[in-house]
Amino acid sequence: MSKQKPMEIIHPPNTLKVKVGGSTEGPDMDAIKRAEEALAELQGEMGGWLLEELDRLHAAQAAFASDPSSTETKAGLYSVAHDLKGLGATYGFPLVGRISGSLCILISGHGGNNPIPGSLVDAHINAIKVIVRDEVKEADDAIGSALASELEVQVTSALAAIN
Amino acid sequence: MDDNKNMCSLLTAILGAFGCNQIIQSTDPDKAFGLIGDYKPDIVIADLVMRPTDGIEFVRRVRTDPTSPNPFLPIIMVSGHASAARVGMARDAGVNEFMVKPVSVDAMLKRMDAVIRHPRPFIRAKEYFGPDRRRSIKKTFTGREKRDLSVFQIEDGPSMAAG
Repeated sequence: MSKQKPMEIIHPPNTLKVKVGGSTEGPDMDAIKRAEEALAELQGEMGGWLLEELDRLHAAQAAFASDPSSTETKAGLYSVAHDLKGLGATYGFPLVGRISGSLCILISGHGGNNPIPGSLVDAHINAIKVIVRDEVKEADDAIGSALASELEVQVTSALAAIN
Repeated sequence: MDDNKNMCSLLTAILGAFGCNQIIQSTDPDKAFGLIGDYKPDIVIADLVMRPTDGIEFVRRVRTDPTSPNPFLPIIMVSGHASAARVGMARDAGVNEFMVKPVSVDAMLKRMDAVIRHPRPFIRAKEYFGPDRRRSIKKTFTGREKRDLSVFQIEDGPSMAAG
């Protein structure tokens, strides 16, 4: 009876390294400068992108409010909040990313049939809207960061109550 | 590959500045799987949280589906989730590199450099196929290798598709 090999180590040919020139030097640091310039050129468009995301958030909030126990509306709200968590800082609004992250924790922490407190969802979304409206772009803005901290405390309390 | 089209645009701008001359965007993981066969990409950048199929499932499919056009395809996963559990899931599915949002130019370049210049060998075991999950191997280690010593090594494995 043949014994099956427990493990194989495979070294695929590195055609990609050959394709980029086969250099053994580190990454092309000029590429960072070029990419940052490309992102700077996108800054004008990013304002519009952020407004699109807020429209999606508003629609997801309305859908959730109309049917808070629906898996679909919860997933829809989580999806938009998760996108904003990742994109907030890139759009120049780090507090939007932070508060969206808190909203993600609130939603994902309420598994099963545990109802998500709608008032706390609304508080997060209202905070995000105000931060964008007032162009609060500093992560350490005194009022903005205090608001984010309070929302995080409330989420922690809400999750503690169901666990 | 990201189900948020703005994130796709952002990544495209960064990759274009890095010198990538053909960038295919997809907001649908199922369609993206088909595009691998059509375009033979050198690297895939995939979001973790997507609908209807998430990034983890996409990676598993690329690595293990018998119809996969290239099981060795380098995949960099991008996610707003930085928890050890999520990173572990991505690693166990077979991603090459993991990057936490918000995306930075510097972090992206480092991940790209890692898969191009320092690719990890692939491991084929009973319950895993993908890049070696050990981040680094200590050359000073003199103890008994926990992995079976009857390891079968292929120095020039199957050709990696490249476009």
